[in-house]
Amino acid sequence: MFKKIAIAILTVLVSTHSLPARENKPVIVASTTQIADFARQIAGDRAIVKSILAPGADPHTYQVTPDDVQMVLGADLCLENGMHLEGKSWMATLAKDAKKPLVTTTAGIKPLVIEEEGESISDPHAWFSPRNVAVYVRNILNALNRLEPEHKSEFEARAQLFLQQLRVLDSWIREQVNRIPIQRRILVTTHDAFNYFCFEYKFNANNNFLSIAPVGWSTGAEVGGGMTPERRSMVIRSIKESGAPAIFVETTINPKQIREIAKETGVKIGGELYSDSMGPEGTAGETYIGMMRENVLLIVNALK
Amino acid sequence: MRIVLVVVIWIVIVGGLWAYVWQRDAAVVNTIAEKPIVELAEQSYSLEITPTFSTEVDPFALDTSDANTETLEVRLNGNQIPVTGIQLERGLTRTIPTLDGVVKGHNEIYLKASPPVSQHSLNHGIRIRLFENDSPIADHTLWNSRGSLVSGTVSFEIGSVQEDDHDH
Repeated sequence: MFKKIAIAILTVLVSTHSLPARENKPVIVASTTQIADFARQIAGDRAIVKSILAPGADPHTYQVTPDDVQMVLGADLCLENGMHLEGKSWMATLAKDAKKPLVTTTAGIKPLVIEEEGESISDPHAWFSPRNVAVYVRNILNALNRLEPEHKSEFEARAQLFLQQLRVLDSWIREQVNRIPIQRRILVTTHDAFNYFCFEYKFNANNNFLSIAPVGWSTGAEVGGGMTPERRSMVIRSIKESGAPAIFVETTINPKQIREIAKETGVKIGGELYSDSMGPEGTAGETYIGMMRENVLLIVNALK
Repeated sequence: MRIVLVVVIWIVIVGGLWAYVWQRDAAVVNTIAEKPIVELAEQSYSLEITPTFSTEVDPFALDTSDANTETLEVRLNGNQIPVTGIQLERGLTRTIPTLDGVVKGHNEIYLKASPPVSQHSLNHGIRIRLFENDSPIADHTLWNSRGSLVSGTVSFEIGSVQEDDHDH
């Protein structure tokens, strides 16, 4: 009997040598996959970073689930994009209800003001300019420094590396885009998420360097609703008038309708672009830099 | 009696396990790193920097506030050299007249400068010349890859003629 007990105690003690050290990492919950990626680049292994939106989900129309409430309840820091990207401010509401600190990562970015249904609004898709992402990075870095001041120098070192990668990405995009003749530099997408991209890299000169989405195509229509025959004709006319050699669909949008419309207009489909969300794990678009790289290659190949 | 024995054994096992993990993670290794003995070099040293570009504030810098908009960073053996007011211009040589902190033996100069983002399609470089009592003892050019900062290290020995560099 005692021999068995002694063996059991010994076995348990020996096996504890391989037990991992106790982990007390802060939990950061980001609203979108892009913000989660930026936070991961800075926090490294010092924090657990989660994203509420799954790859491919649309932040504008997202419906909060009980799992999201649980996730935010367990957070030490919440990060949102702001500028009304999160429809009905769902991230701010979640953080407020859970009494968790919330940082708006676009704070300090000069927004592009666009017209939407007769109203002037700030375009929230600021991450399409790597220069703006530098602002996201600085905001997240400041928040992490406040949360874990003892790891400040580590966060700064990681942020510095990521910022240099962004700088190289930015110049690489300029070099790639330069291959497209200026008159063919027309970017038409199913959802006008690409204003910052067009503005930064000088697409759509005839539209003040802003994104072109076919007229009649609204957020409701993007997800399959509200497409009447009248709106459909408007979209077709608009695509034809844009003179675009190709149009692009987005990974967060149902591509079926736009494919049919492209067929009718005779314009080719340039491919699927990552827009409001990055790609699933294991895809080229699972990181911000990968997502931008794949988008640019698709655009350049279709338009050059 | 048997139930008491089971409880005692359970407490011993779980308690022992908890105590072991706690003391293992709480253990702090208190080692005092021996400070290497360094001897300052006796000569005077200066540094000449000649870039192929005029520097510009880096929009991708960690800190872009007005107080921290230096476009040039120079470190000697890990210590920052004050370069406030030194504005690099294309083709013009700038001098850091007194380079304090050069030691006997192995030394390392790190340099980082930000070329204009608009010149992304050009490869840029910076020529660095180190002088000992007005005689050049190291001469290297650091190059960047397109779009990146120009940065790199130049290693040199005081007391011997060996030198090498590593740039990015």
